[in-house]
Amino acid sequence: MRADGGLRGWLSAPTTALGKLAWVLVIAVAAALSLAVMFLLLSAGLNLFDSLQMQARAGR
Amino acid sequence: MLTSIQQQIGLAVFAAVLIAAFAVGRRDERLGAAIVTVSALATMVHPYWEPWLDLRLGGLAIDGLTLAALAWLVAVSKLRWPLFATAFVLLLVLLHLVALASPPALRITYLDASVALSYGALAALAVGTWAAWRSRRLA
Repeated sequence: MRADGGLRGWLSAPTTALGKLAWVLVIAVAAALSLAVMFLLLSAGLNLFDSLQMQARAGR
Repeated sequence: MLTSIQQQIGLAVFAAVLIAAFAVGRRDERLGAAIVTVSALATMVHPYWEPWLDLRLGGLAIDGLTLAALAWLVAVSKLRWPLFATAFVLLLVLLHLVALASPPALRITYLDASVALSYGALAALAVGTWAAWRSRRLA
Protein backbone atom coordinates (compact mmCIF):
# COMPACT_ATOMS: atom_id res chain seq x y z
CA MET A 1 0.00 0.00 0.00
CA ARG A 2 1.35 3.42 -0.87
CA ALA A 3 1.75 6.09 1.76
CA ASP A 4 -1.04 8.19 0.16
CA GLY A 5 -3.38 5.18 0.56
CA GLY A 6 -6.75 4.67 -1.12
CA LEU A 7 -7.74 2.49 -4.04
CA ARG A 8 -6.02 4.71 -6.60
CA GLY A 9 -2.69 4.56 -4.82
CA TRP A 10 -2.98 0.82 -4.37
CA LEU A 11 -3.79 0.30 -8.05
CA SER A 12 -0.98 2.50 -9.33
CA ALA A 13 1.89 0.75 -7.58
CA PRO A 14 1.52 -2.29 -5.36
CA THR A 15 4.49 -2.26 -3.01
CA THR A 16 3.51 -4.85 -0.41
CA ALA A 17 3.83 -8.60 -1.00
CA LEU A 18 0.06 -9.01 -0.57
CA GLY A 19 -0.69 -6.21 -3.04
CA LYS A 20 1.65 -7.75 -5.62
CA LEU A 21 0.14 -11.21 -5.11
CA ALA A 22 -3.37 -9.77 -5.56
CA TRP A 23 -2.30 -8.07 -8.81
CA VAL A 24 -0.75 -11.29 -10.15
CA LEU A 25 -3.91 -13.29 -9.34
CA VAL A 26 -6.27 -10.70 -10.86
CA ILE A 27 -4.19 -10.52 -14.07
CA ALA A 28 -4.01 -14.35 -14.23
CA VAL A 29 -7.79 -14.70 -13.90
CA ALA A 30 -8.37 -11.99 -16.55
CA ALA A 31 -5.88 -13.64 -18.93
CA ALA A 32 -7.45 -17.09 -18.36
CA LEU A 33 -10.93 -15.73 -19.11
CA SER A 34 -9.66 -13.93 -22.23
CA LEU A 35 -7.96 -17.12 -23.46
CA ALA A 36 -11.09 -19.17 -22.78
CA VAL A 37 -13.27 -16.71 -24.73
CA MET A 38 -10.72 -16.67 -27.57
CA PHE A 39 -10.70 -20.48 -27.80
CA LEU A 40 -14.50 -20.63 -27.62
CA LEU A 41 -14.87 -18.10 -30.44
CA LEU A 42 -12.23 -19.91 -32.49
CA SER A 43 -13.95 -23.24 -31.92
CA ALA A 44 -17.38 -21.78 -32.78
CA GLY A 45 -15.93 -20.20 -35.93
CA LEU A 46 -14.36 -23.48 -37.03
CA ASN A 47 -17.60 -25.39 -36.37
CA LEU A 48 -19.56 -22.82 -38.40
CA PHE A 49 -17.04 -23.08 -41.23
CA ASP A 50 -17.34 -26.90 -41.19
CA SER A 51 -21.15 -26.83 -41.25
CA LEU A 52 -21.21 -24.27 -44.09
CA GLN A 53 -18.79 -26.42 -46.05
CA MET A 54 -20.97 -29.51 -45.48
CA GLN A 55 -24.09 -27.59 -46.59
CA ALA A 56 -22.30 -26.42 -49.72
CA ARG A 57 -21.26 -30.00 -50.49
CA ALA A 58 -24.82 -31.30 -49.91
CA GLY A 59 -26.27 -28.60 -52.17
CA ARG A 60 -24.02 -29.50 -55.06
CA MET B 1 13.08 -27.97 -34.99
CA LEU B 2 12.07 -24.56 -36.46
CA THR B 3 10.72 -26.19 -39.61
CA SER B 4 7.62 -24.01 -40.03
CA ILE B 5 7.44 -20.31 -40.87
CA GLN B 6 5.43 -19.69 -37.66
CA GLN B 7 8.25 -21.12 -35.54
CA GLN B 8 10.85 -19.04 -37.39
CA ILE B 9 8.80 -15.83 -36.97
CA GLY B 10 8.25 -16.72 -33.29
CA LEU B 11 11.99 -17.15 -32.73
CA ALA B 12 12.70 -13.84 -34.51
CA VAL B 13 10.14 -12.02 -32.29
CA PHE B 14 11.61 -13.63 -29.14
CA ALA B 15 15.16 -12.71 -30.19
CA ALA B 16 14.17 -9.11 -31.05
CA VAL B 17 12.46 -8.54 -27.68
CA LEU B 18 15.32 -10.13 -25.72
CA ILE B 19 18.02 -8.17 -27.59
CA ALA B 20 16.06 -4.93 -27.04
CA ALA B 21 15.60 -5.74 -23.33
CA PHE B 22 19.34 -6.36 -22.87
CA ALA B 23 20.27 -3.31 -24.97
CA VAL B 24 17.93 -0.59 -23.67
CA GLY B 25 16.28 -2.12 -20.58
CA ARG B 26 16.88 -1.16 -16.96
CA ARG B 27 18.23 -3.65 -14.41
CA ASP B 28 14.81 -5.32 -14.03
CA GLU B 29 14.27 -5.72 -17.80
CA ARG B 30 17.74 -7.27 -18.11
CA LEU B 31 17.03 -9.68 -15.25
CA GLY B 32 13.68 -10.56 -16.85
CA ALA B 33 15.34 -11.07 -20.23
CA ALA B 34 17.95 -13.36 -18.63
CA ILE B 35 15.19 -15.44 -16.98
CA VAL B 36 13.21 -15.68 -20.26
CA THR B 37 16.36 -16.55 -22.24
CA VAL B 38 17.32 -19.43 -19.93
CA SER B 39 13.71 -20.66 -19.86
CA ALA B 40 13.31 -20.48 -23.67
CA LEU B 41 16.63 -22.29 -24.28
CA ALA B 42 15.70 -25.02 -21.78
CA THR B 43 12.26 -25.37 -23.44
CA MET B 44 13.90 -25.73 -26.87
CA VAL B 45 16.44 -28.30 -25.65
CA HIS B 46 14.37 -30.42 -23.25
CA PRO B 47 12.53 -32.55 -25.90
CA TYR B 48 15.95 -34.10 -26.66
CA TRP B 49 16.06 -35.47 -23.10
CA GLU B 50 12.72 -37.22 -23.65
CA PRO B 51 13.86 -40.84 -23.20
CA TRP B 52 15.00 -39.88 -19.69
CA LEU B 53 12.51 -37.15 -18.88
CA ASP B 54 8.78 -37.04 -19.61
CA LEU B 55 8.06 -34.11 -21.94
CA ARG B 56 5.24 -32.69 -19.81
CA LEU B 57 7.15 -33.11 -16.53
CA GLY B 58 10.14 -31.36 -18.12
CA GLY B 59 7.93 -28.48 -19.26
CA LEU B 60 6.40 -28.25 -15.79
CA ALA B 61 9.85 -28.19 -14.14
CA ILE B 62 11.17 -25.48 -16.50
CA ASP B 63 8.10 -23.26 -16.17
CA GLY B 64 7.95 -23.88 -12.40
CA LEU B 65 11.54 -22.63 -12.06
CA THR B 66 10.74 -19.69 -14.37
CA LEU B 67 7.75 -18.83 -12.16
CA ALA B 68 9.96 -18.95 -9.05
CA ALA B 69 12.53 -16.66 -10.69
CA LEU B 70 9.85 -14.19 -11.86
CA ALA B 71 8.22 -14.24 -8.40
CA TRP B 72 11.59 -13.22 -6.98
CA LEU B 73 11.77 -10.42 -9.60
CA VAL B 74 8.27 -9.26 -8.59
CA ALA B 75 9.40 -9.18 -4.94
CA VAL B 76 12.49 -7.03 -5.62
CA SER B 77 11.08 -4.85 -8.44
CA LYS B 78 9.00 -1.70 -8.19
CA LEU B 79 7.86 -1.99 -11.81
CA ARG B 80 4.53 -3.32 -12.99
CA TRP B 81 5.43 -5.45 -16.01
CA PRO B 82 6.90 -8.35 -13.90
CA LEU B 83 3.41 -8.75 -12.35
CA PHE B 84 1.97 -9.42 -15.83
CA ALA B 85 4.81 -11.76 -16.87
CA THR B 86 4.43 -13.71 -13.59
CA ALA B 87 0.65 -13.99 -14.06
CA PHE B 88 1.11 -15.48 -17.55
CA VAL B 89 3.75 -17.97 -16.34
CA LEU B 90 1.53 -18.88 -13.36
CA LEU B 91 -1.21 -19.81 -15.86
CA LEU B 92 1.37 -21.76 -17.88
CA VAL B 93 2.29 -23.81 -14.79
CA LEU B 94 -1.41 -24.42 -14.02
CA LEU B 95 -1.88 -25.49 -17.65
CA HIS B 96 0.98 -28.03 -17.30
CA LEU B 97 -0.67 -29.41 -14.14
CA VAL B 98 -4.04 -29.73 -15.92
CA ALA B 99 -2.35 -31.36 -18.95
CA LEU B 100 -0.70 -33.94 -16.68
CA ALA B 101 -4.15 -35.03 -15.52
CA SER B 102 -6.01 -34.65 -18.83
CA PRO B 103 -6.47 -37.06 -21.75
CA PRO B 104 -4.15 -36.75 -24.79
CA ALA B 105 -7.09 -35.36 -26.80
CA LEU B 106 -6.42 -31.98 -25.18
CA ARG B 107 -2.85 -31.89 -26.46
CA ILE B 108 -3.42 -29.43 -29.34
CA THR B 109 -5.27 -26.95 -27.13
CA TYR B 110 -2.54 -27.37 -24.51
CA LEU B 111 0.17 -26.50 -27.03
CA ASP B 112 -1.79 -23.52 -28.46
CA ALA B 113 -2.49 -22.17 -24.99
CA SER B 114 1.18 -22.67 -23.97
CA VAL B 115 2.36 -20.64 -26.97
CA ALA B 116 -0.24 -17.90 -26.33
CA LEU B 117 0.79 -17.62 -22.65
CA SER B 118 4.51 -17.54 -23.53
CA TYR B 119 3.82 -14.63 -25.87
CA GLY B 120 1.88 -12.95 -23.04
CA ALA B 121 4.94 -13.08 -20.76
CA LEU B 122 7.15 -11.86 -23.63
CA ALA B 123 4.73 -9.00 -24.35
CA ALA B 124 5.00 -7.90 -20.70
CA LEU B 125 8.81 -7.78 -21.04
CA ALA B 126 8.48 -5.88 -24.33
CA VAL B 127 6.22 -3.26 -22.71
CA GLY B 128 8.73 -2.86 -19.84
CA THR B 129 11.58 -2.44 -22.34
CA TRP B 130 9.57 0.12 -24.33
CA ALA B 131 8.82 2.05 -21.11
CA ALA B 132 12.54 2.02 -20.19
CA TRP B 133 13.51 3.27 -23.66
CA ARG B 134 10.85 6.00 -23.53
CA SER B 135 11.80 7.23 -20.05
CA ARG B 136 15.49 7.33 -21.09
CA ARG B 137 14.57 9.28 -24.23
CA LEU B 138 12.46 11.77 -22.29
CA ALA B 139 15.09 12.22 -19.55
